[in-house]
Amino acid sequence: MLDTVFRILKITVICAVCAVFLIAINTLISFITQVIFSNVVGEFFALISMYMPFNAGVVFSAIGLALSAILTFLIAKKIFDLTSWSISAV
Amino acid sequence: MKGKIKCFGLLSVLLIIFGLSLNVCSDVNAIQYTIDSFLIHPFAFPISSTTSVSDEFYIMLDQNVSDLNITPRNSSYLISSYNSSTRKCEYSNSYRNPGYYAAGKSIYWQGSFIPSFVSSVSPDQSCLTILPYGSSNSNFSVPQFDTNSIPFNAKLNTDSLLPYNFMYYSIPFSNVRTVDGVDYASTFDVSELLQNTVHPGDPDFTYYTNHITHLSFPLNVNPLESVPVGENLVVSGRIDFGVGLSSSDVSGLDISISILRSYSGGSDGFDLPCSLSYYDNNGSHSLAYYCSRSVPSGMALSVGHYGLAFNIDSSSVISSTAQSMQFSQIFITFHDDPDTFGGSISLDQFGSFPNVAPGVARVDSENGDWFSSLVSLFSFTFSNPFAPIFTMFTNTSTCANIPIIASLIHSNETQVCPFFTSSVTNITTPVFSFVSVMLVFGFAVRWLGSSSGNMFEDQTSHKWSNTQFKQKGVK
Repeated sequence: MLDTVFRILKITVICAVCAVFLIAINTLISFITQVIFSNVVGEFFALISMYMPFNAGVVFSAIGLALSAILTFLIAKKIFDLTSWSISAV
Repeated sequence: MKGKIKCFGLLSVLLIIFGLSLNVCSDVNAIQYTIDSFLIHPFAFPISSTTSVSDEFYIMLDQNVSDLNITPRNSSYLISSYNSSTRKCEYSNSYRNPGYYAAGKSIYWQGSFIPSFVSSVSPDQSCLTILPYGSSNSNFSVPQFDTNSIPFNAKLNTDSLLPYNFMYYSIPFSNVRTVDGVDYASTFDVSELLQNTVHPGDPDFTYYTNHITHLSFPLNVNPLESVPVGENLVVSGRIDFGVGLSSSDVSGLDISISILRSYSGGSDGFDLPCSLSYYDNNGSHSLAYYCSRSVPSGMALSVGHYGLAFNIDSSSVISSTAQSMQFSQIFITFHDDPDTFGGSISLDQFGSFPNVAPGVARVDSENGDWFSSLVSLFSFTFSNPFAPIFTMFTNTSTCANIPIIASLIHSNETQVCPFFTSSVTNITTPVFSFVSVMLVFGFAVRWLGSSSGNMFEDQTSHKWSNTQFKQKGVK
């Protein structure tokens, strides 16, 4: 019972940490992008969206979100594994 | 272990590459809302039968309005003329969408209005009536509708209207942004001002004495980074302006400029003291007075609509040759960096004057600019990482501003509109987005699942199963 509680607590903490990481990585990337590229990338997407039947900016944003989610999942998994009980090899 | 490092490394690179579009792309859409409080958003004219029409229409304000100026965005050829007797503003947009329209369709007018009034009473938004132009020879099914029938946010923010009896011009800034290090540029309608000629001794001459003309521009950041009203923006910019005069001698003309913010009950702002420079426009017998001054570095301006006030005092003009003075152009440019002065997008919609007189007004390099830059480093808003999900289902088929690319290719067109209709893009955008995301997830799962590290399996149980314990002799 106690083990289950601790496990749930651990998963909750990991989810919180990864949510913070997800927000931080998005904010950092957007900040760096603004500083380095200003709005050229967005304008480029907007430009090609004019001749595509979809909004390229939105599509690439979704792809970026997927990549962020995958990276966040991997980090969460890594944290989970590192904090799991294990026996070192003899 | 090597596979994991590869996974992280490649994913990070991909994330940085594709993540460039995260909030940056949102900014493109966000620019559409920079003058939100003054906008009447795009609306459509329904058509009852197949006819050849043009989306010309009247805009009528059903009250005693001494001046009405409605300026569209993204169009420099639109002409509005206000008839004070009929209180109608004839607004022609026939160049933009002429042709035949099928029955049941709508003319989708994508322009936006920036109405500004000078009225003795508070403008009531219900009084704003939009009529199709020439209702007798066109077949609009809706002969009249008010703003309540416009299926968009058509509310006018009357709080931001100046309470003064000033001539009032609106600047349809297409790409006004703040604190983002991008030059501001736009054109604005000065057609009414340009029609006025000041003759010494004429009533008009005295009329313009100490007359303040307001050029309204919004000082809003994009909605994703919107600053609540009452908070301050740190503005560090540069304002250049010029007034072209057809007179040959206006040596006594005194023009002072200030930036005012209006709100209910008063106004505030700051002056822009500057020295006017003489500029001869290539022998075209025109004079241009340029004024350039950096906005005080680190000056905090509350969010709101600001007016550029021209205080033109021509009472002290001493001239034996000048019979009249006619304003031929006014432009305004915002720079974020004095060193880029001269390299920004020209705001001169008439194209007659260069934006910058060479060698003139390269002054006012503020020593404290670095401080505002440093402050801006720590003033940012956390972005919603899940915003792309919601953006999929919003109407993203709107005209986008491309001021930077337009300046790179030396194009005057700073706004591009989609070729496909919104009904197409609104469906295909989420479809393509989900397909892309599923492909990315599928690729990641397949790739990582088959790697040596096998990230999607429980490594602990895999490595330390009972069989392995027994094999290793652990009891």
